[in-house]
Amino acid sequence: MNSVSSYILTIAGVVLISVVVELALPDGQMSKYIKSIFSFFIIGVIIAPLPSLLSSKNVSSIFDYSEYQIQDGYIYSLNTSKLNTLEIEEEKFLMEEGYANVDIEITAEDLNVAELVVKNIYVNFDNLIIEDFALHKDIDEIKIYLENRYMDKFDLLQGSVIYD
Amino acid sequence: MVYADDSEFNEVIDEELGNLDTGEIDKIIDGLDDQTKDLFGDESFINKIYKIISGDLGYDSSSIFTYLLDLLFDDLLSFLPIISLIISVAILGSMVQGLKSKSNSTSISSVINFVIYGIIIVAIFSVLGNLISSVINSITAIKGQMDAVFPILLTLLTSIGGTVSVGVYQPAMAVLSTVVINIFTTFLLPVFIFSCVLVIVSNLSNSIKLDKMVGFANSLFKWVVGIIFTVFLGFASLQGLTAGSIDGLSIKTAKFTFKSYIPIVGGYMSDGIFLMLAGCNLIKNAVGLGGLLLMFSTIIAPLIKIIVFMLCLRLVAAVVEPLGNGKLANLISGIAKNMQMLIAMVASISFMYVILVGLVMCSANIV
Repeated sequence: MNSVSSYILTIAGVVLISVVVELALPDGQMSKYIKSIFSFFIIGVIIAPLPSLLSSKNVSSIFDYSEYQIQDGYIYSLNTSKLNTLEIEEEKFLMEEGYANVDIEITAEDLNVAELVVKNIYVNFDNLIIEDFALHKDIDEIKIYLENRYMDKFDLLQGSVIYD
Repeated sequence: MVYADDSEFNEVIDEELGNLDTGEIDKIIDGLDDQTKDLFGDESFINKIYKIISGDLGYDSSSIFTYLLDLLFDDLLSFLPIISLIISVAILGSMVQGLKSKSNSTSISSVINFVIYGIIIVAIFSVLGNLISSVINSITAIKGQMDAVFPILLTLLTSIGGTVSVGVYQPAMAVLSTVVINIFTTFLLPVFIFSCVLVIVSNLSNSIKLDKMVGFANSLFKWVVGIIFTVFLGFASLQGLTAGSIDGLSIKTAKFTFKSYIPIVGGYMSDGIFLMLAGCNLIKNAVGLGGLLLMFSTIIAPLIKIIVFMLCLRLVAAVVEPLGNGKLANLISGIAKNMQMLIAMVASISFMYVILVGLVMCSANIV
């Protein structure tokens, strides 16, 4: 920017001087030649700094950029509330199936990335109440039922569903 | 596809907005002058987003129109002294030319011309300097707003599963806010100043003509802006539209299939999570719109000022021309023509910003 403005100022200055000189010159034979000398000057002033202005150093600095960073905190808290929503939905589902007061906790591989992969599911049967209309009455049957359900639903490995 | 009542959805949006970090934008809004703040309409960005989500933009066409008219007449009044100065100096000059004795004609008349030129150039440049600095300020302001808005948009786009789109827009946004703006401020702005100086210089004397150099600067400016526009917008929009539809498709598939691998929750989309994603999507679009409104309220005043000054100069050139001083009319109309470059600079940067934000708003829409 600085070099460019000095370039512009030089051109303006040389032209201004030549105009003033032109005004001051008497109308003689010489004035013609002096005018042409000044026009050579002006051409020189315009052309001379062009190579340095267009040097690769000046140009390449324009094309440097760094990418914007994503707010990790937002993704983290969104993922946490996604997991919470899932837990609440599952507990509600089990209640409707006849297994009340089951406590479910879902954990994920990495909470800081958008692709949430479920890692473990902790199921707590401490306060379990089995309603009359429930399909399975035995706690081991319920465990197998839940394990099958989650392995199918979240693509989990064997043993990822843990019972406290 | 609505599974929840309004209050549940509002809770989701409240929670999501609460987690969003908009400190940067609020800082920018704090730093605005009162007029711009009035036009933007809110003290905090989050409030504006709430309003946009609830469907109330806070503008009606008549209030915008009166605001624009106010700006227009304020600017006209502020330029009135300059206009009258230029016209009166030109009239005075032509009267002196007519009154002077015939004996020592050429040198005296060129001295008189020179003095008239000096006065008029100083008058025009006192305004033009202000306008140039206001253009630099608004470009810097747009860059600051981009730096604040783009990370939020990218975060929201990531959160709704628009991974392919993020891959396209993350570099595109960085290129717009640094490379494109660098080219505008370090290359095109000097070209504009260069062309203005050449217009003045080439009309100063009869012997030195630099009209072709002015033409070169003008066409250089046009081509560079045109190439930036075509390349940047072409790439961003073609890639962005493809990526956006891929993301939209994968999110839609997630709604109907269970086990396909999609970036939601281990290949599983429940009603509650769908609601959260819809909330994020809504916030994303509202943030985009809010950012654009902020940008419009920042640039509208300087833009109108430049347009009014350009029209004033054209009017002055038209008034001065019948006085018989063709060079003076050429000078003024040449500068007025160059001022289109200033308008083009602000307008094209904000246009690219609008298109990019619009593309982000369109991509990965899930509902």
